[in-house]
Amino acid sequence: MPRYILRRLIATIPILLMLTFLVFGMLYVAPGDPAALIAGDTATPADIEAIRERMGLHRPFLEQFFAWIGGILQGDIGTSVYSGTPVAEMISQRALPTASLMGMTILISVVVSVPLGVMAAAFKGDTADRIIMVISVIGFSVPVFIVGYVLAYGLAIKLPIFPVQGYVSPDQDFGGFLRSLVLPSMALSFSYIALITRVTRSTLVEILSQDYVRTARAKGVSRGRILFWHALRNAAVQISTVIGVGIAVLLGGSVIIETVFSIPGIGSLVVSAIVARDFPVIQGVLLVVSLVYVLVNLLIDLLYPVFDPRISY
Amino acid sequence: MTRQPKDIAVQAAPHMPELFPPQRQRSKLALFIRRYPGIAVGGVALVAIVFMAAFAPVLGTSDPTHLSALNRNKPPSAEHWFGTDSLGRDVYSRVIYGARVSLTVGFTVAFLSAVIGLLFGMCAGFIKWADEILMRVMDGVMTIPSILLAIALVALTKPSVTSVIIAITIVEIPRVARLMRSAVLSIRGQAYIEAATLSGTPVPVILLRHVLPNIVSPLMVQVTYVCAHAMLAEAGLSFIGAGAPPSVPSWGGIMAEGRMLWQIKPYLVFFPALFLSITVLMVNILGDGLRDALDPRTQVKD
Repeated sequence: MPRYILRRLIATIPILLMLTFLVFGMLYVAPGDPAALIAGDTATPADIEAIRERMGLHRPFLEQFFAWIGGILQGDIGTSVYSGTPVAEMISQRALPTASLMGMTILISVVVSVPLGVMAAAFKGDTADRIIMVISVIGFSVPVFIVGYVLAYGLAIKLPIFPVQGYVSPDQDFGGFLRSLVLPSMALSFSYIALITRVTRSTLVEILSQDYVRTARAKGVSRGRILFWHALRNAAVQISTVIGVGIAVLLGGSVIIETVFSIPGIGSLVVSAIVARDFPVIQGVLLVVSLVYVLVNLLIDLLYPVFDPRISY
Repeated sequence: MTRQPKDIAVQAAPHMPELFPPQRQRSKLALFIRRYPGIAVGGVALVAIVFMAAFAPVLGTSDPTHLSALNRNKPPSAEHWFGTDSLGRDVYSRVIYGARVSLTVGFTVAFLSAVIGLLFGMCAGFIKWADEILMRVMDGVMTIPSILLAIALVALTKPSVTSVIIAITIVEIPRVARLMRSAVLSIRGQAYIEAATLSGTPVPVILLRHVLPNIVSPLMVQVTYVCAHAMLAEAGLSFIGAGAPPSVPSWGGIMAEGRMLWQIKPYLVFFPALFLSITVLMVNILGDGLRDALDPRTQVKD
């Protein structure tokens, strides 16, 4: 087992290298001078020259790349052109709202979508299945910010249950913190629920045609126990995989939903960086978020034996 | 009264139930709709939306960029069906014209990523060294959440519809390329490909004549979903200000402009939202219909 973990960790190194190469190389593939791009629209030629000098942009590409990776390993992922603050500091200040938003979204999504998927599989072809499938197509089609506005209109303006927007720090008021995250999490979970429900349904449909399910049915195991005990346990690997892969959708969606609900997270950091054309910030967020995404999926991979003892490393 | 032989025969034989009732004549069109409701509904709706975008100038619209200081923030009325925005522009006209951006981005990205993804997939499936390089790069691209990658790519250039199209295409290519690669690999093992190789058919001819026809179906289905995805991504980018420039009306952009006032004037946000959601929904319904129709495993028996 420890050897397997080590092997998996080593196998992620090329992926991480490719990721850093892409994030770094982006600046050089784009038309125009990278120094001018980083300096922004209002920069004078002297500013551009200063940035070129400070960031070492006149050196050969590979030398710069390895210097940049060296910096990352020491926790330096760049400096904001606009404010001069290290990007790592900006991200860590805004990590909590985004992380708690993601956590709540995953919780809501799993609690709603797994039973829905099981139900759709149990009633395959019936009205219940059709309704669930129609809802999931709608979930894939309605953009996250529209879901956000509809929810805010219904549950904050017409029925004032939750705050329309804003974020409350958990040290200040924990109840208010949770309440401020309910609507954005619900909005964000909409397409995620559609995704997990579909995968749960299709995995379970396949499992329900297996011999061991027939055997269980023949020996008189109740329908609910077959579905939730025998079948769902065997679907755990696929469901956890799609939860992990879907986190990419959540990370992208949180950029947009934080704008709708004015949550001071990593997403709104990106949006303000776009407005200010602060490319190092965008680059840093891209790197950190993708890194988190890769590591979360690695962790889920490593957890497979927990879900399914037949998988042993 | 003379009895005709025919009458005798009728009397002799009792009334028979009709063994072969005349078949209810169904037109081919009705049959098609019955068998493929998704393709019919999604297809017709999309054609309608395309017509709406193409004939935007004659659909009772005014100039979507015309500013009118006297008509600011008007609620929906007979003159301005969806009201006016904070600059006095007619929201109905902006929404109708906004279809153009969504459709252009959706269709162009779908086409480009289909062509490039197909090419990459074929190369990866047939050329060993290309497989290694291409798939490692694709894996790398796929570790970056797509909206964030698109944001970064647009931030590198001046905001325009073209840079949005390029950014979203780059994001979508890996998905198509991976699918095409696995489709090519599954066909490569077939005996007829081996036969073609042994009989000295050059690789490009094999790809074109023997491989391509067999992977067109999954490509078409995937490309429909790419189109839906691209429309959502474009709207998201425009909504956060990383998409089409404000001078071009786009559904995401109109919603972004309505954001400040939406709590008092929700129609500023809800009209473009409705059009966007329905359009993407129709593309997805078309995609599901195509998938059911083209996948031999779920072939509907008639």
